[in-house]
Amino acid sequence: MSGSGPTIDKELIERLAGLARLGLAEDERETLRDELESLLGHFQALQEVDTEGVEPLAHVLTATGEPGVDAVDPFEHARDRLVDAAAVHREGFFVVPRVVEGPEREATDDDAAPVDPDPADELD
Amino acid sequence: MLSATAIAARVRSGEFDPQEVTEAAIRRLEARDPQVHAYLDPDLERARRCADAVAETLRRGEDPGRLAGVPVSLKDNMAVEGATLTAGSRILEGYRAPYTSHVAQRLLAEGAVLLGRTNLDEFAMGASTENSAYGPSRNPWDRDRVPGGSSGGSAAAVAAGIVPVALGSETGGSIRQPAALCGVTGFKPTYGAVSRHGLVAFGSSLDVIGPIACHAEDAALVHDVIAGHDPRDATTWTGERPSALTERADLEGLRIGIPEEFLDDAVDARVLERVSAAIAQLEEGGAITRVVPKGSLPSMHLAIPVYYLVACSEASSNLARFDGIRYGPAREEAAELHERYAATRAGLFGPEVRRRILLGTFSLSAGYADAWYKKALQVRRLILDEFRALFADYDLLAGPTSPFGAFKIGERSKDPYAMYLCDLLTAPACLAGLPSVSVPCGLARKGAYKGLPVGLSLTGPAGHDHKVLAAARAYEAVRGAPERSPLQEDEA
Repeated sequence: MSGSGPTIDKELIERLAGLARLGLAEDERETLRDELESLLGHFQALQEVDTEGVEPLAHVLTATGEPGVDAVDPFEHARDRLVDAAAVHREGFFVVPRVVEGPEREATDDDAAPVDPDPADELD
Repeated sequence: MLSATAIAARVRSGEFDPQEVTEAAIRRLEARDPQVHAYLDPDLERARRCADAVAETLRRGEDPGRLAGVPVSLKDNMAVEGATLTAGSRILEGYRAPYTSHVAQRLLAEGAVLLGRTNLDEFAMGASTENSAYGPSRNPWDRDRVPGGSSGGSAAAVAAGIVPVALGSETGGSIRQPAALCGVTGFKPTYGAVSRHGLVAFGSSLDVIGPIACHAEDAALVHDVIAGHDPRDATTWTGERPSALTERADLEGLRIGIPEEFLDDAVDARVLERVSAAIAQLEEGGAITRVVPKGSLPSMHLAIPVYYLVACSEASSNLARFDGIRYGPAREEAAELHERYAATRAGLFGPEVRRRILLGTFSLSAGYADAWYKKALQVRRLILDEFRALFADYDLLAGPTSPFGAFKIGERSKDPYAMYLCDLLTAPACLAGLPSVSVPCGLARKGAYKGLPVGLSLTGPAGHDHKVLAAARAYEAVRGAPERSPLQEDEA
């Protein structure tokens, strides 16, 4: 059962890939365009249902849980255990490419040092 | 292979040594896993440490718990502190979990021996394990065929007789469909019955964790152990939760409806033949079965589009956390942060994951969200309301679990929609959050799936997990122990 769904153009695929942070090669974009168009064709029957006045159902929970206790659940050595999972980390911090615009400057040893060690202690 | 129930009883009584039980499971794994590739990480040393702990508890004269010495395997999307956790993806290659999932904590607290982590479609997205970045698992009944998915490794491990029980997770059919294709029992609990703390998230309004086992009784035992409130997953219920194990297993007077929508044209005729025979057995066991004429589930034919739009929308959000910075292997250095995200995600997510992220991003994006995502949520409510109306007249609904038996490796992987159709009969209960079990009901006698297992699905109202599992136990009692796969037949 395949209706005719919306036309997906190259620009839309590029916009979606940008939003999803997926760096796709030209041929992959073309393949995904075809596949998305085909899938939405199969899904077209949805558009024919009358849903006037139907409240969208985002989840099926019937019972409302008790409110959680607002207390700290200690997680030992959080910094070691979480930050160490990163491929590149230094002194308890993730290392990422520079994100702030500004004049180029040479990296110094100070760049790697924690600005304030206190928050790390609190995590532990 | 003994059942989990039998192993635990004999370990608790002192008749069995937990270390010997574990070594026997390890020998089965080493002999059989090369034939099915059920495991991504057998992690034998962890199993031995678990067995040592159970032995130590016994030496102290204490009770190790309801799963004393039972080897249990986890799908590799559930965290165990210090153990690898790949979710079947290259983007988590080499990653080790910093904490232990709720379900693993519950198993350990009852004396279970955690034996390895099993293969799955990448991020649980698929119905065959062919989307695993680490190669597909194989069906113990025919190694040229898929075990189903996404919990295919767990189903194959159980069907191969390596462990009596394993955990799977389900979003659209990922516990029940592989259980059906491997000839074992798979139970998807009510949404919110089991904590997902420590489960790699896929579709958060759908994801549940449940057991895959040789015997329905073992599935009930393990569900009892893992279910219950956990403050770390706010969707878990706090109310009363009757035991699935002590609930009376009796088919007498049970009203079972078979909606004609479950007997879709897409269902293989030989699969239908086995399911009809199973329904006759339910009737012989005392159940009152009735085919419900077409029209009781008028929106069910839309379950596939609704499910894929909802699940992929949620996945596109959940998978945003995989940025290549905080987890997983290092990628080529891009000078700019967003370029690095894009390069990492395109390079390390497989084709199906990329496809679903893109579909989900489309469904949530400005200009399309009302026509697709919101529409899907509205039809989701129609599906829920239709199920609720049916449960006014029936205790359970029955039908085939999967439209077809185990298909050949490669048979459906070229066409995404052909693979999506595997969820045709399982996605509706997921959208409505209902408890549902697949129990083996014999082998197809002829046709494309001749000699391969068929699953009967029993679905109940939300919260009736104990009733669904009791019916599965009663059905197994009526029809006798399920057929064993050729890999188990080899057992001396």
